[in-house]
Amino acid sequence: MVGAAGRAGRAERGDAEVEFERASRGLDVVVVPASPREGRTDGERLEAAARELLADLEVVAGRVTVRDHGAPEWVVRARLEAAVGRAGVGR
Amino acid sequence: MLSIPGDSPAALAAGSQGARTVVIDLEAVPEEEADAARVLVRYALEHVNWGDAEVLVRIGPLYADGALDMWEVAHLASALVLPGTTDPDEVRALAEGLDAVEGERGLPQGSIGIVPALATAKAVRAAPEILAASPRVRWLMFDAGVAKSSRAPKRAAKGLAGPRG
Repeated sequence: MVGAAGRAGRAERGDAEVEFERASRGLDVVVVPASPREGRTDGERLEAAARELLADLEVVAGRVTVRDHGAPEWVVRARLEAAVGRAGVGR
Repeated sequence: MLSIPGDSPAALAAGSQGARTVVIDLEAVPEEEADAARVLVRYALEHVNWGDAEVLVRIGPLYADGALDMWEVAHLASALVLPGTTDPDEVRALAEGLDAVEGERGLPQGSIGIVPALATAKAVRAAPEILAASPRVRWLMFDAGVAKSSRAPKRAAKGLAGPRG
């Protein structure tokens, strides 16, 4: 199945809105940085963290969008894990 | 004692703020956010510096989905707060669940405590029996004005018998 999505997180400072959408092949991760008043986003680090978590969850295909609101890395990981679970994929 | 909502990343990231005891509340999380909050709290227990604070997690009622909360976070908490406790058997049921958690995680048996939260006159009358129901019971908490859980009894009990796959 392709296209089913799971979302987690809220548009609040310190959180991240994460969407995971199923795909038939390839793994895309898009990080939308926080606004200046929310904090600084290290996009490369968040993308690497997302890819590492997806590997841990044995997810090999999908599209991830992270809208950062100044979240610590562990919050992004938690939101992605919840989103993947809600999409019904992963370990 | 500091109470932290289990669905607030900002509040969780702030840590204990000097409190000696922290209670992370999963029970009050809206039902539709309970799954994500469980994951968030697990990560917070793993990654936030809680200092010397004793960190407890207030789970949902066992007759709702408190057992799912237990399986997700109990191994990282000092104790679980059991809301709306009215009967010693509820404490015994949670203690059995914690036996299984500790077995699966390789933790010493009895290392995870239970703090029953009493919210009714009936529960207060049963306090001595509730206190004696398990050696895991650390102390009792009195929930003045809390009549019922926000997450109960909408869902049937699930997950107490064993870990999720």
